[in-house]
Amino acid sequence: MTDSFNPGHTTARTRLRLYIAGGTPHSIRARANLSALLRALPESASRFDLEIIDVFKAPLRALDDRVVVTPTLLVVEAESTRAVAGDLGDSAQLHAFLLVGDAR
Amino acid sequence: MSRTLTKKATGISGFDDSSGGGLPAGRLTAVVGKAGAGKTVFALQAVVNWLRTRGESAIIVSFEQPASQVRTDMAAFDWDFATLAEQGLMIVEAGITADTLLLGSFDLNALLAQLEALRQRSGAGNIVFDGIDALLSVLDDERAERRELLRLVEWLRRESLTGLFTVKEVGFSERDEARATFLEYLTDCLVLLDHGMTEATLSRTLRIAKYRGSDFSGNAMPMVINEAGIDLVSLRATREGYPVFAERLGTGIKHLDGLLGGGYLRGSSILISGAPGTAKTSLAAAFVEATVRRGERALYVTFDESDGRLVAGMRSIGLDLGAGLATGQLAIAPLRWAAHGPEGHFRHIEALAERQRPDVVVIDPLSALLKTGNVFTPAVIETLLDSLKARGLTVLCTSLLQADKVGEEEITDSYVSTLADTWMHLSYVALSGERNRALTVIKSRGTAHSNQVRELLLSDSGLQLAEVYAAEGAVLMGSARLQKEAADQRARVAAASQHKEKRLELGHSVQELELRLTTLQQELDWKRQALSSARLDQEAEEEEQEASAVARRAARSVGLPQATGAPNGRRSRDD
Repeated sequence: MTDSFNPGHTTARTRLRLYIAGGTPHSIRARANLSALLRALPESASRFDLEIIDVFKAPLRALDDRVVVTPTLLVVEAESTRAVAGDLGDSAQLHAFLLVGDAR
Repeated sequence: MSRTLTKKATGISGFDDSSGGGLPAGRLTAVVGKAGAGKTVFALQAVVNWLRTRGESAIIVSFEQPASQVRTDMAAFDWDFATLAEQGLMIVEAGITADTLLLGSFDLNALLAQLEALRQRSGAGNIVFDGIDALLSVLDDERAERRELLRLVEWLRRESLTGLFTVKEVGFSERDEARATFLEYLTDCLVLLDHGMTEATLSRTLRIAKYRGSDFSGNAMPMVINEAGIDLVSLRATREGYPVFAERLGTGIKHLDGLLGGGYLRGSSILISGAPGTAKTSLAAAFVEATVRRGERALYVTFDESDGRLVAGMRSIGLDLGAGLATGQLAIAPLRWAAHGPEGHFRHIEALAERQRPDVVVIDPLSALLKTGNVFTPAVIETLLDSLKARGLTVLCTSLLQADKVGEEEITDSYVSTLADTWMHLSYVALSGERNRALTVIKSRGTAHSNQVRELLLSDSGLQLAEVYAAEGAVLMGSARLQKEAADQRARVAAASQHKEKRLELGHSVQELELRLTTLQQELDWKRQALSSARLDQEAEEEEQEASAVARRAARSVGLPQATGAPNGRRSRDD
């Protein structure tokens, strides 16, 4: 979906899939960290579609996406998928990671 | 907390024996070793076997290699992995890719969730975690590793699954050590694989380091990996019962059969030792040729020569191995000792024997296997001989001795000599400027054999033992023997003529004595006669004297004049 206010900048919505494992400590932290970052980024609402997947409830999704550890955040873009694993404690790195696609 | 232990046979040759039945069902086994040790092969061979023999499907979690690589690797074996995989082996890739950013702590719940879903779907009862160290090492620390391992293990236990972990042993960092210690504590069965270079050959070993609830042999065992998978040369503690024969097989060497009670005992093992060039190969080849002539089959394993050179060399001493080759009764297998470790050779020779179905096997020289310097060689050789004899084969081995010592010293320590039922030693005996070949029967179980040294003669018409010429306690050979033969002949002739002379002489004496005897006899008769005459005379005289005495007494009483007579005079009868 092109952004009509920025004609030179084609931005398809990036899908974020956060795989968590129910209410485990790592998962709770990851959710919190990610939410905090997205809240802090003004464009996140228009840019990112966030899906939270609980591996215990949808294990076959994890199988499909080859996710073996939780939490894992997949950034799914047109050409590729990037992955970051862990509780996402470092917001600066996380931010950079999310925006990597822009640098191309 | 006692659960009864059942074992599942892995189908890995030799392992099921040593482990007393296989791996523990519903428990955890860890296979640890360096890269390339064969851990993955071990684990997959077991699950393939469980699928094939027990119909149990398995999930193979591969942490290091992509599924395609696993499939390619396993296709190298004769398990028909591709087909089986379809029937009941699932490969799950579970590595974290190199470009995954690691940002914080994580756990293995996603993997667990996947596996549980797969397990439910497939009903798999066996799980392999191949290269789990790859994932463990990216966890934060030891504690995290322990926690995640426990997580997985608890799941395995909850679902009563049989788990196999393969773990690459890398270094000696604290973390590696901690992982190793924890694994050892967690697992019910721990198998260690090792491999290294000994002299110029690769040697592999397997050792069961732990087996909870079971007896096991904790010795390191030599192993090979071939197209059947892993093959342990399981070194049996006790010797199997061999088939017993009474038949003796001709040795192919004239006069040797007699020395050995008729020949080599079928089903026995024969060792021929000797320094280089002492005709060990010739003796072996002679036996093989005789075997073929008898209508039987033979396998000649040689580490020294090509088959062409062997045949040509033997032809020059009148042995025709070509005939046996042509009919297929004889197979010659030229092997390079450096090609395998001793256990590899063992399996290869067994495979050759399977194919050739021989009655007789020759290994020339067995001592080539010692060149690998492998510490298992004695045990492997023993197992090889064991295995061949158990099939009723007659085995003849030659053995090179570096120094030509009819070394009771050197050979007594040799395990092979204790295994051999018959042991002959070939040497050179130097005497009076000549070297002759000598064959000594050192040992011959089951026969009474002469302990003498015999001369071995090689000619272009074959081999034979010379007759024994012993003198002053030493056996003579070569020209010394010939000289002695000639001398003995002369002595016989001399003795014969001496006897003749003596007979003649005695004959004369006898005649002479007989003559004398006759003469004496005559004399005796005369004397006897004379004696009787003399007695008669004496009696006659006494009678006369008596008569005249009576007459005198009568004359006195009548008063007649007495006649006087000279006392010595004889009165004439007519007085």
